[in-house]
Amino acid sequence: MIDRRGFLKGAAAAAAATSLAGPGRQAATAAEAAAVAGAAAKRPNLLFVLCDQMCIDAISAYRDAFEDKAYLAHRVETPNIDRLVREGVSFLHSYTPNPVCSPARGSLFTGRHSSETGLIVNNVGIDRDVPNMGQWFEENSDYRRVYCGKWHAGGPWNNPSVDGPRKIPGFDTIPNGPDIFGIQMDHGISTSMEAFLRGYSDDQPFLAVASFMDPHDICFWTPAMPGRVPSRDLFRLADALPPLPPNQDYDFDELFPGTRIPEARYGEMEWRNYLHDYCRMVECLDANVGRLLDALDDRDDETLLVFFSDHGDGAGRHRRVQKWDGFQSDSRVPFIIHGPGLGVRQGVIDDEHVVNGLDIMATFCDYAGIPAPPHCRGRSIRPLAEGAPVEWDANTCFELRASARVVVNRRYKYMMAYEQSPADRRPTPESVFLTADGTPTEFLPGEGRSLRRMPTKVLFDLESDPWETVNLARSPRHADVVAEMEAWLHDTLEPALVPGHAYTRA
Amino acid sequence: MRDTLIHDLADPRSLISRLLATHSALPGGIDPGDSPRLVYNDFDTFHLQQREERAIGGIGELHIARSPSASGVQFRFAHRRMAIGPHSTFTTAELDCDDDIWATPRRWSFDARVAERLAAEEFPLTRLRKECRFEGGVLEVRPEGGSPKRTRIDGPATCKWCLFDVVSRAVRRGGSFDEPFTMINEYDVPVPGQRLRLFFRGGARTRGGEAEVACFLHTGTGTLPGLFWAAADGTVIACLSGAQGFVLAQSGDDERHAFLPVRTEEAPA
Repeated sequence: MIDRRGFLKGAAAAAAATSLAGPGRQAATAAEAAAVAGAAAKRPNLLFVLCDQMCIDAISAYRDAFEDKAYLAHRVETPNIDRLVREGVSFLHSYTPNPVCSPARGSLFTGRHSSETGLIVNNVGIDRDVPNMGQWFEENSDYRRVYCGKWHAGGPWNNPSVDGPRKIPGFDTIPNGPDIFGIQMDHGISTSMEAFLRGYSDDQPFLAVASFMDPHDICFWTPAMPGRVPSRDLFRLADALPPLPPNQDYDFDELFPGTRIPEARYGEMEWRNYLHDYCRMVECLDANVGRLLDALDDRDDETLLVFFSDHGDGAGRHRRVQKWDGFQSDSRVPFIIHGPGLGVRQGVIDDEHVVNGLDIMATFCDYAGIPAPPHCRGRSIRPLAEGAPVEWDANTCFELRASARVVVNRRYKYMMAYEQSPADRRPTPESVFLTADGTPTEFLPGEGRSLRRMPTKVLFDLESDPWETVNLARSPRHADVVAEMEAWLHDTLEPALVPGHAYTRA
Repeated sequence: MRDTLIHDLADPRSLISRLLATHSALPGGIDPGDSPRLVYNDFDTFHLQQREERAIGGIGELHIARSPSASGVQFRFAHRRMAIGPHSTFTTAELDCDDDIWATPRRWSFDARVAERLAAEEFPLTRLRKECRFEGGVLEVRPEGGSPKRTRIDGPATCKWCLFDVVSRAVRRGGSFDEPFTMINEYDVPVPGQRLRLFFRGGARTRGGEAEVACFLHTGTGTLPGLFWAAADGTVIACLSGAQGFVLAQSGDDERHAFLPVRTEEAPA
């Protein structure tokens, strides 16, 4: 590889450090400023490995962290993601910004909440005033920016084109597909991204995104799309079929009463076959991740890798499939940072800090030595990765499209919902929110603070009730907790939000 | 009314029943000692299942050419899978294999790239080439310009696309079959913990009338339960695994399958 130019465009390190803490977050520490200054001298490549619909516990290296045998860690073999855990820092209290594909991705690539990006439902684009990661790096660095795989944050389509209206602003696209299914798309992504990682030798460092589809294929293993989930042990898998989760029978109507979910008709064997196949999809993903790691092994420069999932999966917990909700299965996702030559600690499974996918944007900016974008809600996790002292907020917040907000810390999770269409009180498909031309009909992002709150609230004690089966929101003993989390939401987070505007790119 | 599983041969509405119903076996079938050339359409089973409701096309083709060689058997694979816009991912491979039940690969190379056509220049930085060999229970994968990676493999191993031939051999051999193995996916990533077994042997309704079929089940790490459906002569007619489906389109110069036309523009020589 050729040595890189010591080139930093745009921002001074001090300014960068200051901007790392967005409104609602603490000011940047001296350690962060020093870290940013150091990054200016040594800028690593940045590789964002994003997957789709992976629960945090679907990693075999987490068997000790998730001791209950009902967790998926005991049902998967993920040697390559295990290697990331072993050689990096992984976070056990890690949350998606929004447990639905497009809203999550809009936030991951901007560092902003969904109500700020305007991407509150699937299939609309990011507010034009909010720069995505590629655009921000294009304006503020000389990083070469490439994207391969699922995007789904630009309109009613998944995969980006190399040009035209479906190109991602700020990124060059490595074309890959076909659309929709990970089993057919992901091998091509890992092949092309491996080729890129092996072949790229320009002076500029790169910011590369490998955005895999799996284990999202499980979305097609639902009663609404029948044909794949046997009601018996058709394949004679016997004990290879995972057991039901202990909260399988929980009635989750706390947030959206009166809901009738189609998957309620699944019996025990359907659920067990569902979980079996989900685990295999995770293993498919793992093999593709391994190909990227092999390619990085052959490079003689440094690459910071972040592994994340846009959201989790219902995984039969609370008798649910897919995502959408604030439960741990949907919202708690893998977050691993790997950079052995960059000061990132190895083999650290962080059980202390609560992090959020919103933090990825600021983290990449930190390592690139550029400021985070204005109003970036996330914060660089670099101090956590490197073991530097830092004050870290105990709470984080994620949104449920734009219909609810969730405040979570190590101990408690508090969920509150806004009023939405009475026609469907369940977290709803996009049709409820969009007109035929894709314009939101209600819950415009700019109205986020004026909408009426639903009377139903949910509070879970995640320590004593990790499977989220007892709603404590009406418990007098927990009134203070509710008030405290409500106050954090009202007084700290929401006043700082800058409402965005939804639009459809094409 | 209960849901129809894509694999349910007893249900005429199922995907496999509909696929087999359109299959017409050639008189005499394929001579296994000959040099078969098979072309499979590459589909997602979801859209394939929905074909009556919406217009669909396949997402690519898998070409398999097999010929005897001095050391055993040689395979040539060519796989096109559509990408975005005019681009596809093309992967071609040549494998020298033992002439055993697993078609055990010994030396092979593959070349993958994104391009608009097989013969066209590749999209920048998408070309990947590797040389591989499997000797003494050790798989060595050497990327072009990279360092070799060696992995110990215990027991039998075969490459993913060789499974079409493995099933064919098992059908012709007859009797029961239930064996563990390591799958090399597709040509360079060893995935242990696989199992291939005879799942079902019986009659099925085809375009040519009732015919004998054999069904083999593939399960294991990273593998959604997949069924290979083969004719009595060993020719694999279809393979369905989760959302992934391969359906025989052509054998040699004879169109055996009228389910959908195969795209021949990019067929390898």
